[in-house]
Amino acid sequence: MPPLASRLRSSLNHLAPFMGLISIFLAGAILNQGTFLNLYNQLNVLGRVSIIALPAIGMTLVILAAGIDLSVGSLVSFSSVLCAMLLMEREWSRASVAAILIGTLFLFFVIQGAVRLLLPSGGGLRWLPPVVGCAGAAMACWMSLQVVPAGFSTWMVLLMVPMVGAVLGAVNGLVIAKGKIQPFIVTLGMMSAAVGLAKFIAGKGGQIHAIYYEAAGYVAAGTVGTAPRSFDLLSSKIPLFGIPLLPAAGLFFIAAALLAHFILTRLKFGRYLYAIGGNEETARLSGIDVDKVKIRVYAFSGGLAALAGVLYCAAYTQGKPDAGLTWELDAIAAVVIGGTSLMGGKGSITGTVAGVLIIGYLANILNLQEVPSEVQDILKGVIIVGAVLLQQGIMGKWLRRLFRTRYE
Amino acid sequence: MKNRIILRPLIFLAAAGLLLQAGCQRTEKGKVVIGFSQVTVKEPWRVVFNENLRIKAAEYNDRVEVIFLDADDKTENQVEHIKAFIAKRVDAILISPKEASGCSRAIQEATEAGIPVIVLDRDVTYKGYAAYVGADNERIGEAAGEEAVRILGGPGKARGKIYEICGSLASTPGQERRDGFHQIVGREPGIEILGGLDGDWKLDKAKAIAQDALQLHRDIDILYAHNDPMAYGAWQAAKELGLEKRIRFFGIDGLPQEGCMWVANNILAATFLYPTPGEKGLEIALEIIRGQRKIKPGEKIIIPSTTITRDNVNRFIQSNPDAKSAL
Repeated sequence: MPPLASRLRSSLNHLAPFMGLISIFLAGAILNQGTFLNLYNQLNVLGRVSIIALPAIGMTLVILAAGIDLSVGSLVSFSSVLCAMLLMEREWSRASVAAILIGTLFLFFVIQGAVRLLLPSGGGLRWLPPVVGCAGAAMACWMSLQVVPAGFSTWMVLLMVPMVGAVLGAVNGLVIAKGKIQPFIVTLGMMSAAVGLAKFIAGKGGQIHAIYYEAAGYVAAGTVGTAPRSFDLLSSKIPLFGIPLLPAAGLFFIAAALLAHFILTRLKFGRYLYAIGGNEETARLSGIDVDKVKIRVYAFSGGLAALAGVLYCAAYTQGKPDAGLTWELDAIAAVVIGGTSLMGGKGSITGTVAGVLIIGYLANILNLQEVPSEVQDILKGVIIVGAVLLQQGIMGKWLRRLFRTRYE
Repeated sequence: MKNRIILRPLIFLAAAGLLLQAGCQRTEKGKVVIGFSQVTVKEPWRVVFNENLRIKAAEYNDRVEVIFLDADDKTENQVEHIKAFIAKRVDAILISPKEASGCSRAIQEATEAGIPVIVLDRDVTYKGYAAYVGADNERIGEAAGEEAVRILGGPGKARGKIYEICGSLASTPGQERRDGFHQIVGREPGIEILGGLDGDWKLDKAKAIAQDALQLHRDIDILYAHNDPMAYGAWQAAKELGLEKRIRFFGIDGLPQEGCMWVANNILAATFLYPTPGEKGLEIALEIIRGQRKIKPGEKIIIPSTTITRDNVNRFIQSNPDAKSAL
């Protein structure tokens, strides 16, 4: 095949999600004119997709390494409960115990890993990393113990809840890597276990934990206080040029997308993911520590899912064990629409961002058109499959036909 | 569904194990053992349902024991529960089934084995059971309709726009809550009902729907959602637009931690109690066991709803044992 057509074809396949995004945006602009295009509506869509985008970004990395993470929805649920309870409870609760224990575990591994990196290789100080890790983790643990009676601050939940999510994700990765079990099965197990954990922590078989801010006429229940005002910022719009413009959740979405893009395009870790997704055995033979990469990528996915749980909690002022129900499917849909192959090794974050926006805009446009819910569901299904069909090289085939006369 | 073959005996064994434990205590004289199969505890309403039943059972001290089994939203598990209850010969069975048809045969078996079965919340196709206890969603929808008409100017004179967000329309509660409401409001020529999208009972979905809908209809007077979390989600969307003061929000369910709290905090104008049937079901079971009540197969007992507004909400919050008022 001539190089130009081939290059065009591959770039067109790569661009398919963006062309989808552009065409759906145009459709919205034409169908709903004023309402769709106005700033308020656009920011709404951004705010709405931002939360679900986080697990989709983590999922992209996992799928690139030929894995799958079915547990992200449950981790969103779990972390929303954890977050709500940490903010509201003023006594020791299952949530604070779990968060502090698992958070300490996370810090231990991270600190000792960091110290190990700093040490000269082959040195005799092998005892140092674990000791420093223990000391650092113990200190952080002691500090967080002091916080319990006053309730956790916004910063602390933003740090601790994703840490807990990352540890649960790492458990996924550990079992997948060391146990040599298919990711589908392991994360299916975690999907069930994390919801169970969420219900256990929530108490009474899985009650809702609402978030309240101090307000006149506020009615409190049980042992709860009120959430810090700053937590409300996570659901508000951040002022730019004096007008409230950017939804805070959108900032997290953009930051996470940039970080994941950076990992995939600039870091060795990113290249390893593609390599493992392409062919795990080859990757192993070429000296990549496949197990370590897997554990880290599932930890990353778990951490992002937990962050989404915190943002859910802020956006809907509640944490509950069914918060993220079926979110893993939405995340997978976004990844797939974005052109990432479920077989691994092929795909990008930019595609996933487009995929997330396509799903968000589609629902928004159909709502604005007042299309009945059942029709919306059908269209969503058609779009998912249609988008993948387009990327299956059908566009490339058409293009080849178009160019055949000229190049052959 | 290949795991069903393995799971079924496991669930049976687990249920039987629980019952064995209960059975040992049953040798105590005069102790009544009642088996209860709850379809799921994922929904907060069912958590309250179990909690209320637990409190009611505790009122009888040690004379009554209720064995709670959670079917994890699967009909198969409920069938296994009932079979285990029959094998253990409990005094009565309470069941809140997943759907109308799935458990019918098992309930028939239990009834034929001489164990009275009380069906709670959702009805089943087999009508030979000892009693059905539940709330009536259509009547709740009607009550919401009456309140809406009252607020908008009274029968015959009511004028205004109502936006509706439905629960899952594939479920009977969703259909009935809509039908009851439309029956009353539909008589008013001055009222227009808009919307009707499916919010799937979820706060986040309802918020998204309301965010979109309120841009099109800024002039609605009442937003009627088929449950409280959806009404709350819609309120959050209205607040972003500064419309939360002029729109009145109606929810359904009236759970102490949710709807009642939102009514108390001036977020919802009203919620309509969807009462849990556990306590009444237990009372009826005990009456039957003690011979104080004659079984009329297929008898239906409807527990009434209450309209909860700012005026009476404290009563419903205080009925929750671990809630206190900071007002």
